[in-house]
Amino acid sequence: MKRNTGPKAWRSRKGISIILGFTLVLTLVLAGCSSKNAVSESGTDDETDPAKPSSAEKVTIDFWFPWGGDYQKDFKKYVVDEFEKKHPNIKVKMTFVESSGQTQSSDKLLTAIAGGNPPDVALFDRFLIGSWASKGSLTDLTEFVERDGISPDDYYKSVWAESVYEDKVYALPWGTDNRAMYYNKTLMKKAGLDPNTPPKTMAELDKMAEATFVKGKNGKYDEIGFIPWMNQGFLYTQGWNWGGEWEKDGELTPNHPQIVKALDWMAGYAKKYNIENLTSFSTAIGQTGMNPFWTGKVAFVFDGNWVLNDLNKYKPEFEWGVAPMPAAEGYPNVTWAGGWSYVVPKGAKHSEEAWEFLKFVAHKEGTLLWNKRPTAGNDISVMPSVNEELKLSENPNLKIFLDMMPTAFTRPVTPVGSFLWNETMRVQDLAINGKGEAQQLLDEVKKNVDAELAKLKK
Amino acid sequence: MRSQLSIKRIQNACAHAFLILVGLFFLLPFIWMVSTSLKPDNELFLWPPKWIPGLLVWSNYPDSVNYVPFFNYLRNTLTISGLATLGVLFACPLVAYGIARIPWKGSKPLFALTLIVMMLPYQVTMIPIFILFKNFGWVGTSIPLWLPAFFGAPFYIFLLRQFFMGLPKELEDAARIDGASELRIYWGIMLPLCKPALLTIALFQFMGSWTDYQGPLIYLSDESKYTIMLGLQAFKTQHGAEWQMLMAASVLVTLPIIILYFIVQRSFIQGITFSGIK
Amino acid sequence: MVKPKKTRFERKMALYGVIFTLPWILGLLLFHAYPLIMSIYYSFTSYSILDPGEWVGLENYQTLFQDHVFWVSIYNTLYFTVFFVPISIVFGVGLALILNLKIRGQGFYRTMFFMPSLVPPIATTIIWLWLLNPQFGLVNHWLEQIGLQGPAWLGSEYWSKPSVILMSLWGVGQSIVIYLAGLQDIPQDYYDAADVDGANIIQRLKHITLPLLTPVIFFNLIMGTIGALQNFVLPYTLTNGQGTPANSMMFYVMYLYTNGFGYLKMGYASAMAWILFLIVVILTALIFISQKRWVYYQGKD
Repeated sequence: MKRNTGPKAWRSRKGISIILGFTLVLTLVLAGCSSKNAVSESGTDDETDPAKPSSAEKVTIDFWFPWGGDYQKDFKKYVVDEFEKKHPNIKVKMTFVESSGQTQSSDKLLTAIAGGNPPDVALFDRFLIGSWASKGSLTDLTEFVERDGISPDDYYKSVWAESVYEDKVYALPWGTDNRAMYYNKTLMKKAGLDPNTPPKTMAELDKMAEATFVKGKNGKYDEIGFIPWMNQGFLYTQGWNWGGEWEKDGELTPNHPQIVKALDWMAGYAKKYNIENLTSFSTAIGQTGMNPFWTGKVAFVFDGNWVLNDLNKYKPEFEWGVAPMPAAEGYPNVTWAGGWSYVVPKGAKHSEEAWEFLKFVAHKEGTLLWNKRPTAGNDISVMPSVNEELKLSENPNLKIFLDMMPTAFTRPVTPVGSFLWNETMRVQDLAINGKGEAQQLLDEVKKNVDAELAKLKK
Repeated sequence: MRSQLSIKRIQNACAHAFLILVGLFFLLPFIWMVSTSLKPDNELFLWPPKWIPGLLVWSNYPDSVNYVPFFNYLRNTLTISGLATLGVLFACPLVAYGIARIPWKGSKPLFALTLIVMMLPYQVTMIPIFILFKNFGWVGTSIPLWLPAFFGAPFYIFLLRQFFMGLPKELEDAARIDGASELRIYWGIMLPLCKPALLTIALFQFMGSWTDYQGPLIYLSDESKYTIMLGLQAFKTQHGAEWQMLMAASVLVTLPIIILYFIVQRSFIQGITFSGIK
Repeated sequence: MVKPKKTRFERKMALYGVIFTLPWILGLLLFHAYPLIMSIYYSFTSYSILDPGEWVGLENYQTLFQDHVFWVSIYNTLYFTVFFVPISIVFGVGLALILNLKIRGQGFYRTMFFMPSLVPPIATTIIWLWLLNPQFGLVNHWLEQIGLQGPAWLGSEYWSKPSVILMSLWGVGQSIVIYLAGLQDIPQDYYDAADVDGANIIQRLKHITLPLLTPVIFFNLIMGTIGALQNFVLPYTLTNGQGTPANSMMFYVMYLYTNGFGYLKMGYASAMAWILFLIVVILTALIFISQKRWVYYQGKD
């Protein structure tokens, strides 16, 4: 074989050196970037300078929020701008960080904390406070709260309880929601029911539901009376409606006798009305942001106060009303509240300034500014005094929800909150699909959550 | 001869009928998307859905573009997708050729490793990769979204390896006897024969970067650097979404890929002709 | 005389091999080695993303084997893989062959079949929910027209997985592109020779097209298997992560994700990932062993 000395060989060497050179440059870029990082990691961004937090210097706090839509624009205009006016040394950088899936937590927030560069403030699902606080990922705000005289009485009782884990405050609550029953007056009339007396007890609901189910050809339903698990009708909701308790003396009690009854009752619907036909109506459409109630083919549904906004926006072609959810015989009508809060993640660079921000937005001043914005719609704030000042109870539909707030339940604050939630969803699904008895399923849930807790406490 | 022609004609007619029928079924989601993007509020949730809106709300399009800094996001996305595509076009054929056509000891183990790194779901490698990039100082920049492409991507390396393996061996044997260098065989003979495959990986990478959501979500923190897929999330509100604007923006976002696809598929004209090789 | 020449050739080839694959060798070391090693390590700890956790040895793996949902998810995932992968290959190759015919408007048709891959998942989800709705859905409506009683599809624990398989076939456009690219690699000379021999369409297909397409089919088989075992987005959005009805849609990676990010049990999730890894390795190895019998590489001696 002859030696490669011709122009071809030269070209190939040139090619190879291009490849080698390219790889070399890339490697250098890598090295360069990582050495640059060594500097920035010690905490000196040009804008935010935590090294010298002297009062005169301007501090920028990072604030992450999970909602798109008009929230960013409105919140900046009505609340953040006011805050910055009052605190000229603090600048707020708002970043939209979408929350993912049914966990409501954000993969991005998780990775950021894991990577050691969380934001200073995050708008956070209150439901997750228990599990995140137990992992030491949220800053303990108790000292700040005591120092600045924030009183638990400023907020609805249960809402405040959700911000506290093992006697320490980890968040300031902000924004809440709860559940009631929506009913389709047009369908009630059609079934010969009085559209102005919605059911108050479970027995009445069962009867009216039966009257409003309409079978079409092929044995399928043209109109649905009621499906216990549609929309907000989770086992959690129904358990409380039946007078069950999810937590007693610091212990989780998912197999409380009344919760067992609730699950039994849900499974009864599945059996009586044929689960496959019902499921298609409930879960499927719900996933897509559509609400089966809007189709005008559902007589009763349990849903949240936010649906009032949608009903105003999409203007369905039937008459509807709202009433508290029916309760089991001998039990009061109840509801449960969820909602949001502001937290300071562990490792935040400016916790003092972050607290200033929390104290403004999630206490009287900011809450009022936010809730009196023109687009507030049917929002409920977590502070009774604010709701009163805004005369929210003058809106008859919203009043139904508002009146339930002082006695509303919230889900137990526990490190295994998400697990318990999913377990209830799992057995609910099994029960309505005829895979097991309510008692045995819920005993299993009890056993599982206790085992998870034991593992964490170990 | 004539009967042969009419047989061909019948065959073609059958093919057309079949393609239109099945194709329409594949077109449904897109039609629905366009239809939703033009609907007024009160027709959104009709059941059963309406395919043609009673009133065409064209303003959803300008509204959606003004709702978020659409063109800024578009530019960012274009940059990232372009760089990443360039990256895989540089690295992947090179590596695949080294694995498929160069007889050396390392090729098999390297190929095995290439497959292995695809076998772990990204859900568990996501956090360590993030920590890695954080230590490189890349978090908050778009570097993690395109730079790794220049070092090769397993999916495309595997795909191109299959293509290189499928080319006749006579090609390089003849060239080697002629004294052509490996690089010349690669660049001058093998690469041109793989043009459809190269265009395919370019399409896939561009589309992958274009529609990537998780990556930009995790690595970008500055809204001025956001990509279009992150922008689309802004149409989702706390309890629902601005559906029409979301779909209008989605239609706009999809168009560049459709155009790209059209260009790529045009290179699919059957059969290559090997000059001088039987 | 012969021997040193051969080693020189070998040495030269080894050098070229390293040069050609250098970017990827670096890429593996830089971007892939660390996450791989860390995820093994995590699988032996109680890592929760938010805190590093403790070394727990094999506990995660032991707990997994007693976890009922884990086994359900393995069953569901294998069920999906075993049916979806072969169906999608037959469907994909068939469509690609038709889309490779020389007929008018081919560019338009090809684009149609690629469309579902481009539409945001939420749009595809809504469409399918509508098509498959047992009450008002078009599919059941059509079935009724020909006198069949349609099933409850996603509402039924027996039909939910077939429904997902059906929906996933919509994404076949991506592999069609690969098949089409593969079809372009077949030398026209072979067909010309076949024409001279008077071969008909079936014979051409059987003796030229399909054998020469096998490297690409092989690719789609491997990637399809890996992808199917990691099936996540569609069932997750359809059931909001719950895997309903009756756990029939709880797929492996969905359960992994719920554990890792929902319950913050990343150690446990990592253990799941490595068991999945083992399953994938075994299946891939089987496919590789089989390749000698049916994959035809022109580049091999």
